[in-house]
Amino acid sequence: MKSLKLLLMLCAFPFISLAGDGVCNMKKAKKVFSKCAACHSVNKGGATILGPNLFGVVGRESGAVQSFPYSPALIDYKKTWTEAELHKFIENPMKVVPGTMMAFRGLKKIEDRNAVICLLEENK
Amino acid sequence: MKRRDFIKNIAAGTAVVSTAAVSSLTRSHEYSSPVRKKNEFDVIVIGGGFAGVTASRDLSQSGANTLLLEARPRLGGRTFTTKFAGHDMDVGGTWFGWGQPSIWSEKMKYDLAITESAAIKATSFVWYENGKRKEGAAEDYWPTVYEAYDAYYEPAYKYFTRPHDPLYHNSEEFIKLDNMSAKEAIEGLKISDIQKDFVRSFAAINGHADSDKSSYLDQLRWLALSGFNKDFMWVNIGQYKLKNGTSELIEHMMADSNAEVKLGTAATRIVQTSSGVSVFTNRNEELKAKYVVMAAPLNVLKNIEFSPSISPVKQKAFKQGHTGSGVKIYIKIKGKHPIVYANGTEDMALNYLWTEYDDDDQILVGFGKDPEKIDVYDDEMVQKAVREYLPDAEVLESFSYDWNIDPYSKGTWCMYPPGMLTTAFEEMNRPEGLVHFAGADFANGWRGFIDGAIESGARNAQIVIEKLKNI
Ligand SMILES: Cc1cc2nc3c(=O)[nH]c(=O)nc-3n(C[C@H](O)[C@H](O)[C@H](O)COP(=O)(O)OP(=O)(O)OC[C@H]3O[C@@H](n4cnc5c(N)ncnc54)[C@H](O)[C@@H]3O)c2cc1C
Ligand code: HEC
Repeated sequence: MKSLKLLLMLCAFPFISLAGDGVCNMKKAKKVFSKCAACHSVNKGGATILGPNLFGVVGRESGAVQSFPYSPALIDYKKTWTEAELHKFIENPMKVVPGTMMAFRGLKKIEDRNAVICLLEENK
Repeated sequence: MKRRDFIKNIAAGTAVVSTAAVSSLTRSHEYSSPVRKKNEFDVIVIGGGFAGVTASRDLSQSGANTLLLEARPRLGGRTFTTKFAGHDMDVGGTWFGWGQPSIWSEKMKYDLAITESAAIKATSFVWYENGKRKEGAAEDYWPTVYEAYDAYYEPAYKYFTRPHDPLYHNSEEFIKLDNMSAKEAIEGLKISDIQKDFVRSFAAINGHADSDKSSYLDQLRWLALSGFNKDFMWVNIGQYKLKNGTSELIEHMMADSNAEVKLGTAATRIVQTSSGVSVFTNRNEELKAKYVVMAAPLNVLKNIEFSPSISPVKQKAFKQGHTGSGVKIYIKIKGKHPIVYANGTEDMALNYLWTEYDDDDQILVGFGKDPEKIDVYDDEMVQKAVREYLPDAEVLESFSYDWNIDPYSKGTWCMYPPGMLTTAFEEMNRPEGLVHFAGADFANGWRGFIDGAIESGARNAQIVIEKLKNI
């Protein structure tokens, strides 16, 4: 039971890679990602917290995490998460994918989105 | 499902399954009879918040073949324990107390550890007087505020002597108070303007909306439910919380449950015929049952289609919804600070702000009545709001869950708008044929709280258990 609890804790703590290529402002990226981390893990094989695990999401097809029950809206979206697509989505997810379960108003500042996308690219 | 499996599933991220194989979203348990028909149940409980989890546990324990249908990929509803700033934090419903009989007995039954909000030991108090920031000790703040509460709560002593029987004193005068907004009532109190500011801000947070949005009468319950004791009211609404978060209680209740669980699937239409109830889902399934316990939040019920249609009073109430539509936000600020309890005026971005964790970098929790006044995703704006109370604070990070835009809550906690208690409450609790309504928003006692969710879930389960016996 104790070790399970520990496992739970480790899973819930998204491990954020710091070994970047120097382009990411990791301090800023981590701060902005704390808005996502309550719902998303980003480490390899990370748990479903509320949204799907985001490890390797850049370049991935939308709705691709096998174990996650995506909303019918996101299943029908059928896009590849390129940087440009991610910018669009993260700025206003509920407008870009009407009917999505991601209850998030969006990151309105481009530098916030840049920082977060940079962090997502590092975690693959 | 055994508790071990539930936890294991969550830990492995497999509490949810492929959308391609929608039928596998149903996780069966070892007790379910292998001969019964697929997608047919004695009872379908819609909504896996505390009300639905309680109802499905109790129903399945009585032997009823029960399905718990939940729209989100997780259970817990308007409670959600997640990680923020190194703590298991509840970004929805959090605090409870021993004046709340339903949740407290669950806490005792499962022997769960509690902890307390750091603000219980607050040494620094900050408030506003005529637009000016004031700072002082408890004795500079509370007496003025408590005097104002006394005036505000006066009618509670007369009208809520049986607070778990909310319509017990129904009368003309009672209806008049229900039709009055909290703001209107405060206008007429014989207290100072500064005291009126305090109570307006308090009323705005209790209704989690402008103080003119909620019923004065409905606001009066909390004191009555706390034995007419102001300190004890705060004990119940803001002191204790589960050490490992509300999710620990959900896990224990689920481990005790024999209900099947289907996550990530929303009910969209409910059709009753002479042979039973069909629940249609957003994944184009039809699920059948003898009874349905509808435990989705009041504010989303207007989006579910009922055939035959429900009573006009229910339709109107579901359309109107409860008032809760504000903000709760956790904010980590740089460095260690005195433990603070701050309370501003109704129009400020944050009406209340207090220390929740006395960490090396302090963690505050803030409440605002209006999401338009603060963009919770913009840390600069958050910092500005915090600095109205703590001028030197430097915000490191913050998190707020937007319950208002989430399609499966569309609001925060329940307070009724004027008139709902006396014109709709009784009817809202009346079943529509085979469909029973449950939830914190329908509770008799601590309506709007986790306690009320458990109370209402348990009561409705019991009614359905009795009905099943007579089939
Ligand atoms: C920010 C915040 C702070 C709060 N603070 C406190 C507090 O400190 N103490 C306290 O006691 N209470 C607090 N509350 C209130 C408390 O959390 C709620 O009253 C209580 O949890 C509601 O329980 P419920 O089961 O009635 O509804 P919910 O928890 O809302 O559960 C309803 C469930 O139905 C699901 N659902 C919705 N639509 C559908 C559909 N179509 N099909 C299937 N499923 C559906 C939802 O996803 C949800 O899981 C707070 C609430 C919020 C939002
Ligand atoms: C309130 C919880 C929540 C927050 C906060 C949140 N998300 Fe999500 N996210 C979700 C959910 C739930 C889904 C699944 C949506 C669906 O199925 O409709 C999702 C889906 C996604 C997807 C699509 C994934 C895929 O596999 O197709 C991306 C990308 C994403 N989120 C990125 C982010 C980023 C970046 C942030 C922070 C800026 C963030 N999310 C914040 C809950 C959240």
